[in-house]
Amino acid sequence: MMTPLFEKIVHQVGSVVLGKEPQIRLALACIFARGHLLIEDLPGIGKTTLAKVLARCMGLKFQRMQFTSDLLPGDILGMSVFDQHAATFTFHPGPIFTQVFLADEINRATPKSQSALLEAMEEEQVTIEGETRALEAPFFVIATQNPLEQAGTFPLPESQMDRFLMRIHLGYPDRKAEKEILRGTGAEPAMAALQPFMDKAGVLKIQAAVEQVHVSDTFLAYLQDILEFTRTSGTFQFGLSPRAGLSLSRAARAWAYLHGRDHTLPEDLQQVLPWVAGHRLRSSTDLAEFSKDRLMDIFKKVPVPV
Amino acid sequence: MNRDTRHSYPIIFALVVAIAPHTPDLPAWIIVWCVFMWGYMVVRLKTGWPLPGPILRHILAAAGITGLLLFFSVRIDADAFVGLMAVMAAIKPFEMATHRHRMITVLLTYFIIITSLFRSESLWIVLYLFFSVFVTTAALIHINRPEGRYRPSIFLAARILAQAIPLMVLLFLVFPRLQHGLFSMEAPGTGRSGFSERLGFGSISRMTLDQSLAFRVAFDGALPPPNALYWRGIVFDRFDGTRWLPADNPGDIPFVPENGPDLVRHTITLEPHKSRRLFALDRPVAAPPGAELTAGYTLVSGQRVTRKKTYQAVSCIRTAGDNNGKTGTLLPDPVFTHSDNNPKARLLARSMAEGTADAHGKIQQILAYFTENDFTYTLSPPRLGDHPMDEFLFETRQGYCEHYAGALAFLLNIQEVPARVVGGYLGGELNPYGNYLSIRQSFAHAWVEAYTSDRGWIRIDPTLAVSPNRLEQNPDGSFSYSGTTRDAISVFKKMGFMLEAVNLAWEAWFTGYSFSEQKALLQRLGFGTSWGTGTVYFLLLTLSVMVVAVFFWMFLHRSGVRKKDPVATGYALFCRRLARIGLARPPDQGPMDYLLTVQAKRPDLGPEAAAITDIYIRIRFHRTCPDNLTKQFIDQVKQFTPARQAGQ
Repeated sequence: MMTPLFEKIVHQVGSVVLGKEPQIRLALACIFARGHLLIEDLPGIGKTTLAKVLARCMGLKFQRMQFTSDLLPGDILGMSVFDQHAATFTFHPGPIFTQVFLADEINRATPKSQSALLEAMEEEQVTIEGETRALEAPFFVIATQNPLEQAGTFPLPESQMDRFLMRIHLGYPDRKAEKEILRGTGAEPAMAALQPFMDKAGVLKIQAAVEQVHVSDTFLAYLQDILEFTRTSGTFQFGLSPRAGLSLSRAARAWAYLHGRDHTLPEDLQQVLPWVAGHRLRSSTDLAEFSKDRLMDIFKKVPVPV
Repeated sequence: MNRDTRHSYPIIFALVVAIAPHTPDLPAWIIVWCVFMWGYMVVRLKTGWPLPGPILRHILAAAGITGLLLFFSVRIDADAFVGLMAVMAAIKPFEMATHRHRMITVLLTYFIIITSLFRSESLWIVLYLFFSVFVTTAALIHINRPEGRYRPSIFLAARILAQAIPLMVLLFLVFPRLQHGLFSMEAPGTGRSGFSERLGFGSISRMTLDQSLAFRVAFDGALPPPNALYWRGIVFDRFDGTRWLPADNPGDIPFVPENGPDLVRHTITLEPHKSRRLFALDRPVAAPPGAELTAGYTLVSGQRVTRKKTYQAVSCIRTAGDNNGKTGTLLPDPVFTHSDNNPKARLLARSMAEGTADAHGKIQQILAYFTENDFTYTLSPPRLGDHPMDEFLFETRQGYCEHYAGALAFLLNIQEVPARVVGGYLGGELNPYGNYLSIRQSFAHAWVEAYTSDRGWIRIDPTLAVSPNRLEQNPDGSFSYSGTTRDAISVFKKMGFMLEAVNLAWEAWFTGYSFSEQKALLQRLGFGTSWGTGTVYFLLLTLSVMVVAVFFWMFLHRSGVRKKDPVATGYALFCRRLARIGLARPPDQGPMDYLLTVQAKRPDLGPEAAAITDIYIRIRFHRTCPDNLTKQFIDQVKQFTPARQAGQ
């Protein structure tokens, strides 16, 4: 169980995005760990709704952008337009100048546009026309990928996948949730009724608190065992990078914080592991990705240090 | 189910591999018993059939032991012991629910593997044992690793065995050899009597199908000619009407010749045959140590030959005339315990005797009688009745060597020519790769010795009168010296010869590595000069003390490492106590999840387990914790003794 505040958020978001509580919890952990989220799923599953509801519950600004192959970096970042009255260039910020940015079908854009976004994600700043502009913290990107239609797409290379803290799948709603969806009148009215639980400052405070969650030696030993295992077991093409290790630690800390603890447990790591490591690991035999269950099975081989 | 399968397959497989070398010697019902039990266990893993309950298991065990008692009665030997192990190993998989039982089963398997050495120490068995130990070790590793993949266990087992090999070689070479073996176990299963002490009609022809080895011979010098390959074992000089009985005159030392050109020195490796007879080339003139030469020129060992025995023999192949003029007192008096048997044969003998007085003439006359009267040589002679000599000479006229030898000796004795039947083997098969002769049970033979006043005891082989080929060709169709021309023999035969030679060289080295060889080796390495038994035992003791000390040191070292981290020890103890009541912690489970599992399965243990887990987490994962918490943790864990069942 999470702490009451977060349970309330999960409940509230869950009342709009039905039947997706595990994903909502992960998305929350991702935000508070200062990470970005990649959702790999089909259109019409509720990705946009999830992003919107999250933004609203946390009192954050929200922008959505549909990525297409003719999208230019300027379309994302903004550009200077010549103002004839003032006879100067005025900067028109692009949709990236927000707090929750939904990049829909990120793999449809060209690598050039993708990297514009990725710089923003990594640095929390953008460089336009030689001028670097900071983005307003907190800054959180939710990108979606359509895994099926690959024609005319530019799939993200592994190195760029690494920038996303977590990758999750939403999946179809179960029968009961779908019935609720079909019975209802759509997400819009429900969303309109949402009250924000916190504001920008609150999110920043929580993010700072997550950083303070204690990581003990035993926990680090376990984390290092896992990193070591991915590098030496021969199961994976490449092991996890130190950045991935850092991501794991951050995600686990956020998970611990959401559950009201000021210290991490091996269980926290196990909970976030498949989502943090899943898009960073490929099988050494056929270079395919692992399913979540398979991945959890594999990591069962790493004993928890006592 | 899953866990069951993971553990059962490797253990059952290891058991099958361990029992397999015993199958030729185990009674058929034990094999059927094993196959049935293991088969049921394997099928059960697929179908989920029930396991036999404790009552049925006890009934099965009782039935198995009853079967053993019925089969072996009161014979407590290695066969019965192996049988007991097999019967129990067959039903053991039914009670492998707990780790302890699985470990016991695996240790039992190691024990079964060792018992294979009771039967044979051949190279093939030893190589097979390596495989068997490997399989069992892999099973042992597998049941101790919860994750279900075989490959790591197999690799680890291979690594462990490879690491053990240098130690094995070292121990084999330098561990003090015990002169008579540790258990001085009788070789089981070799109930082959070889030659019986009674020679009836048919007692040798019965052996023609027995392809097992009787003994092997290596010659010091050149091979003797094929017509000299008579292997003397036992002398029969009394006839009771149906059977020949052995001479009753042991102990006399007969004539011992000087060194001569006809002396053949050879080394015989005799398979165990449970009698005291030793075989040697006709006629042995000197007894090896521990044996004596009888007046009938046979060798008798001081003890029954229950283990493979290797000895040197010296024989003079020029059999006639050696004891000319010196054996007057040794002339036997053939005893016919009943003189009313075989009347027709006696009549025939007397009628033949009227013609000639000379012993040589009489012999020739009888041999001629065999060749002229349609006597045939057969491996499967008809059975004979109460007056076998009469039936053979006048009705069946088909016989194997013992028939002809028996008849000849009988007839000669009636004609007052002292004659006796000699039992042994004729021929041999040369292995060109090892340069030794193999003599099989099927080469068993009987011939006659008759006493002539001019030449003493002379050898007469009446079989050759009816089947001259027998001298060159063994009863199984092989030729004595076919191996000398290697090209003439088939590839399979060649391969067989080669493998046999390799194995023999191995056995000579492996089983022949005795205390004295070891001493010689150590001397060559520069250790010690004269070791008495006392020194050996002192060394044994020292070595044992050293081994114990090493283990003790390792134990201390291990516990020393643990002492550095009492929290880990304490938590491990906590997990062990819970594992004992069936709540083992999977190694990948964190403390919180483990607590939840325990609470779900045993709510009564909840509070206590929660308190311990809480302290553990505070020590291990919190930023800070009070110093005295560790002591409190240890105390709480020590007091934590969960009952097997809730509410006890």
